[in-house]
Amino acid sequence: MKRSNWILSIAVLMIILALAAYISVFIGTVKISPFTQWQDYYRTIIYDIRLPRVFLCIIVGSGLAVAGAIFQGLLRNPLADPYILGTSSGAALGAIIAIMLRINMFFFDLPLFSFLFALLSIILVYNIAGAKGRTSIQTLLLAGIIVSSFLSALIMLAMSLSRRETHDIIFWIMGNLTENNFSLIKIVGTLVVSGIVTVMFFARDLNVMSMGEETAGQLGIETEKTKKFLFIISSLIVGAVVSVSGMIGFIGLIVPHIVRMITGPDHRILIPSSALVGAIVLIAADTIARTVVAPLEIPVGVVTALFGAPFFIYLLRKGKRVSGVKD
Amino acid sequence: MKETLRINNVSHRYNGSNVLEGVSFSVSMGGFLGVIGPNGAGKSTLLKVISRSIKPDTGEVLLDGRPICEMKRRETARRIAFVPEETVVNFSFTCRDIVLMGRTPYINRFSWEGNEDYRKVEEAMKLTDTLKFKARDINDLSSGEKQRVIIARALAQEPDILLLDEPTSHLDISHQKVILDLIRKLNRDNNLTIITVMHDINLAALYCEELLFLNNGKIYMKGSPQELITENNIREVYGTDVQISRDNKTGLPGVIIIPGGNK
Repeated sequence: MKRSNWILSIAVLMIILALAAYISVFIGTVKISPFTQWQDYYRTIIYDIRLPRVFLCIIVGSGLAVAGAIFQGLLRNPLADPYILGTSSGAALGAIIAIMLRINMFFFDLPLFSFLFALLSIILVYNIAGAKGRTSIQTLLLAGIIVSSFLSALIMLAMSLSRRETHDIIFWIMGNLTENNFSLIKIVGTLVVSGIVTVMFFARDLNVMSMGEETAGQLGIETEKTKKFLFIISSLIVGAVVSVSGMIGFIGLIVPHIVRMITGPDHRILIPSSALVGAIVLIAADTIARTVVAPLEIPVGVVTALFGAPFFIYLLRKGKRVSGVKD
Repeated sequence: MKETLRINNVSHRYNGSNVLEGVSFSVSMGGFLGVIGPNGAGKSTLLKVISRSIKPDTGEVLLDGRPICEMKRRETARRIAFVPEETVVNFSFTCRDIVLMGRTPYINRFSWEGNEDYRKVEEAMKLTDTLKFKARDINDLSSGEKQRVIIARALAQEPDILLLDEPTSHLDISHQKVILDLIRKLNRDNNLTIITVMHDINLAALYCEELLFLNNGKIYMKGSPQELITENNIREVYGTDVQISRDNKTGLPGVIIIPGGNK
């Protein structure tokens, strides 16, 4: 995509996001039309339930998509994402531990623990895969799967040890957007937005880092510092997001992928576009999740996985040329 | 001639075995040094040490008398550029994007590339005859064309020293000539100091002013191609009997392998 079209594409995405949010607010079990006379309780449904939920979708979707874009650039791997590489499981485990130990630090306990465990799991995967040199995609995915299943085992262990909090824990495993604590949403929103803004200043570094660490160093990037910093920022984003929404898969994988096909691989446009598309996609997925079997609701993580997993296989198979996936 | 780069007693071990052992030499401004030697002699490791991809266990690399490991990477990237043997790009960047990355050490974090940067990119692409690939995906080029784009990226760094690690080993004979002619031109016209690892002794003899012969991580010899490439030296380092033919006019040696033979 030409640089002169960048602003245009951002503007178009913002309009689509606004439309998606608007439509989503009026779709649901209770039929509300913006054009007819509102019942009294419609206000409550719109302002206290659906609007916070759309905000949450925007925060979570953009956070996951940007984290995915960072991972893919940093690991030179178009198939990396916080869910597949076990970072989300790490964050979920962190949140669960915070709940079980009944740590209470004025809304910061969950995001903080999620962040610490997300960071820990990234470091673990990175070292197991030996990603410093040229790591093949298989090695990286394998390391992610191993760490991820280990962490899942720990989550199951936590579940079996504590009967009382089991329901809370299931919340994290399936991905869920019913969090309605507005203070927590605000904190998480601030964290995610500041994370994305910070990453924007590292977008050019990410371009160079995607050439490989050796080359990046030779081109003047302080690779070790940059890498650590970006891992911390992405753990912060993933931790914050998972602490309110649980493990929602495939957004971080697919969104940057689709966006890259349209905008090209330059992270200066890829990051903001991914944030917007991530938000749009999650609003769509959540609208599906709460309407297809209304009045019942399916966890949004189920919806993203149902659409995401086949797409992942498609990407794997479509092969090396088009998506740029190399062994 | 003014000395620009000094390698001072560099040793490096890897997995318990010595890859480089007490290597010292210096390169003068505007020189064209070829590094040759058998597989595993430490040629690539030496280049990695100079390009700061590896910090050697002992010894140091001095650039104008200053140890490079004490400099910021931005600073060394403005002085030393590196062209690897082969470049794998996992995303579909255009050739111009790739060359623009050579401007990284000149662009501030909080600003975007300016006209000056675009001019340098254009210049580098003109020199390497890659302007016509400007808007193309780097992955759609042949390896020879790709290598020229990577050289353009190195030139965009405006370096004094260009390091190349077997830049032609993946190329056929016509592309080998294109790349090596280009490097020679950059050396002569732009006064770029060249240090290149060469796999092919004949090509090394034809293009390099001076050769560094590495064997088992140590310097076996350093000198002109004429004095360095002899049947004796090749036998001693490579353990192979060869026949050396010499050009009547220049005295440049050419190595001819003796098939079968009686080692």
